[in-house]
Amino acid sequence: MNLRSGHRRARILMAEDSALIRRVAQFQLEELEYAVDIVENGQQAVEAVANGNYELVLMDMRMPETDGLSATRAIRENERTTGHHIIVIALTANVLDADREACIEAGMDDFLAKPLKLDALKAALERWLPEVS
Amino acid sequence: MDEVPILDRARLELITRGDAALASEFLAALFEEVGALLERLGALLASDDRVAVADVAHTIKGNATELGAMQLRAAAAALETEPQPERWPQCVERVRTALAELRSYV
Repeated sequence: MNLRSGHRRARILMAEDSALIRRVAQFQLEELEYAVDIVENGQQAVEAVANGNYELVLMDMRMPETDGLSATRAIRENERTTGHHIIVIALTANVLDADREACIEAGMDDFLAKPLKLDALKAALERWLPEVS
Repeated sequence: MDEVPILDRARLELITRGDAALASEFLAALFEEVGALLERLGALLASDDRVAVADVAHTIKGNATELGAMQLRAAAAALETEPQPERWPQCVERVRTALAELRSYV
């Protein structure tokens, strides 16, 4: 696989409640040579984004307690004081238009269908993460 | 129903890049997570909490889809969309059977 080394410096956060899906995604992101930190729910994602230097979040839509939509709204609310805009990509098994609309309204930038396919993940990350030379 | 394969090996090979050890590791993670979720479902059967049951079923479905466990996926999907609490026990039993069949199959 051809990898552009610039992408490797990007720090990615993933929020996903399933241990199996976290493990598979970690493997996929390592295959693509991205550094990833993983949290288990939306609340942890909001805190990690506030405290960490991430460039992109892969956000599961359906998580217990704080779901992906609520977490994204909270991240965007916090950004009103910082002026920063982190890229948030929804991970969803529901690719209906209504769900996409909800993602956009919550402030998400893009969506990826679950289960994650390596080529789709690679394309989305390359699209959203700026080149670092 | 019988046409649904227990395991879509192409899916598993795709996500593991044909690495058998990794496939075993992923399957072990599925058995552990779905096993725990089945225990939670057992406790939820006494309730009529449809949202909680559907949430757990949805997570099982996600696990199954991830690795191509097609019969387990179908069983979890049936539970997720079953509105009648009196039918949940048979749906859960189907999930339990599908998990056991996957375990003996791999």
